[in-house]
Amino acid sequence: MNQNLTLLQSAIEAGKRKDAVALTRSLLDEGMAPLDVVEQALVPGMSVIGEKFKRNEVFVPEMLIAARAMKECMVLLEPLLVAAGVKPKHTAVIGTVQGDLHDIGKNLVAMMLKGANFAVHDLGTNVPTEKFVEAAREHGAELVCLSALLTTTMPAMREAVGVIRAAALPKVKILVGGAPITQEFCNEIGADGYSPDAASAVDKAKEVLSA
Amino acid sequence: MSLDGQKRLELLRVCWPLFPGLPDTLDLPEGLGLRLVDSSGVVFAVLRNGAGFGPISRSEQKEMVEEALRWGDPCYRWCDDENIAIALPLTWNQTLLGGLLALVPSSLTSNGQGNGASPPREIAQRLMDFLGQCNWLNLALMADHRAAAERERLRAEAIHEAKTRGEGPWQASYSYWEPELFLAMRRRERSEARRILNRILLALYSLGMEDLGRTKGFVLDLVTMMARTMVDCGADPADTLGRGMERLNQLDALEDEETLGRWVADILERLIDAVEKTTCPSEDFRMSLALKYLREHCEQPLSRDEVAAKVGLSPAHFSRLFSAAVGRSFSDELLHIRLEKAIRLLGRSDAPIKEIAGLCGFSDQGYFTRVFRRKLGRTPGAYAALSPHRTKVLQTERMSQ
Repeated sequence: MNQNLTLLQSAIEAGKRKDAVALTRSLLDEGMAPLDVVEQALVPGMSVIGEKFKRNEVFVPEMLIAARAMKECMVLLEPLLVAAGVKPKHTAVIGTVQGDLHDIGKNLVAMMLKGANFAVHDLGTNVPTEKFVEAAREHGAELVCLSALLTTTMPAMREAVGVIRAAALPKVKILVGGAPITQEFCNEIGADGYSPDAASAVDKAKEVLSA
Repeated sequence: MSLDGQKRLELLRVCWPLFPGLPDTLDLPEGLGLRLVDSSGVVFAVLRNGAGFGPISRSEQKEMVEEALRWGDPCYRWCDDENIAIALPLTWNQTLLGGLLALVPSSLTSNGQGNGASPPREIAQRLMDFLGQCNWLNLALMADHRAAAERERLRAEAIHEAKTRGEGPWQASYSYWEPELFLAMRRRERSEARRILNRILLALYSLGMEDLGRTKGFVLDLVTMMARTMVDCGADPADTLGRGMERLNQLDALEDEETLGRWVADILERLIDAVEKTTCPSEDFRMSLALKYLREHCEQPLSRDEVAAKVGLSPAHFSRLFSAAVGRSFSDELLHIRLEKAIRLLGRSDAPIKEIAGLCGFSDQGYFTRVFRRKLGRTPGAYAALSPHRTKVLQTERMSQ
């Protein structure tokens, strides 16, 4: 394996942004395909830190700096992926529900989905329910991801699921997550899947899409 | 100018003839007692017996006179017999010579809930003006002290308000999870401790909104809150944060999210290490957490069973440990904490009594008034109407005795 790929993976895991960007440039200069850089270094790097996060071995800031490092590498790689005709496998719309301004978890999930070759349309925070429907329709999304950090905004998540279900978008699956959300709540409001953390979100997204 | 006690007494004795006419001159009410004390609190002249001074000790008289000078305002204290004692300092330039004590009988004190001047206040003001005119009280010095006290009060209130405003989801989340977090650390369940901390950090970083300065401020708050609880639980934060908390000073120099992220991870691991090493008995550790939880959530409807569960104990075992550690039952201690909070709020806030009752965990204002009166001898309204800030300090002390 190319040593720079290993180094890039380690730089992502450790959240070393400058090193990661420099290594990405080197790999591209060496003639490596952008998709290979994503699949062989960035995604494995994020997967390792994501797994550690899932096992409570690292803290949120460590996960965040890894995501930031990956994001900066993706800034270099995305135009090249488009130019090379690499098409996303799936399209997702993501946002934090109305009344909630928290975006860390949502951003992490968006980053992980991008790494897994999803086209991700991030609607931001405090998203009105109808915006999810509009965006899903506009982009032909197969997945809508709803995030909430506050218990007080859980009703907004319930409402969003209801409105999306009523909007005649039969192929759209709904994934929910956030600190107060549980599998029981997910079942209760009729969402298709629940992910307790960003690292599990990609697996859960693939699972609900293949169901 | 420095005078020894003997010379101060002599000065006061020399001026003694000035005082006998005092009550008549000032049109003071019947039943009002007046006496002079020296700077050590010893009575050296009774000007008027009035309703009798009851059991006010020498040290209490000394303390009241010193408090009055310190705050630049008359000092008030409720006596056990429901009368109110007022102290005013007697000064020579900037030197405290002694004090004038007045005893206002309960028949003259206000039981009302209003905020208008009460008879004790009016009497105190007349006495203070008189002493100033006779040059026995340095009114300029009192005004200076009053201004300094007011500045201090405003500063304290500003800090309190800032803290109240800053109480957002991450602080509330920390406060809620703190007992579980510290128990997990103490039990060396590092993974569980990280899981709880990550819930808090998720909210903290979200509210930081990628603003480095703001996030650093929140991180500093989190580490400081944890360090404070470590002290309560018998751990030494200096092992982790360095002497004089020097490790916290490094935070200021961090220039980007990346270095901040590593710093946060490092300091939290160190804090977990330090709590793991705590050697105080497990029961004491749990009781410290329970007490802190009571203080921080006393406005909520707390039950013994809920707090017992928070610190990982059965209700019955918790009750036994709690009574042994605190010297009061769970419900008595909760009431004590709520009344202490009510006293602080009554001294600081213009909020209606009903609102203050709610803020202190009393859903029924009638019950609040009854227990307040039973414990402090006054209704909350009468308490709030009497005097500004230092009266509350004295009352708090009295209550805790």
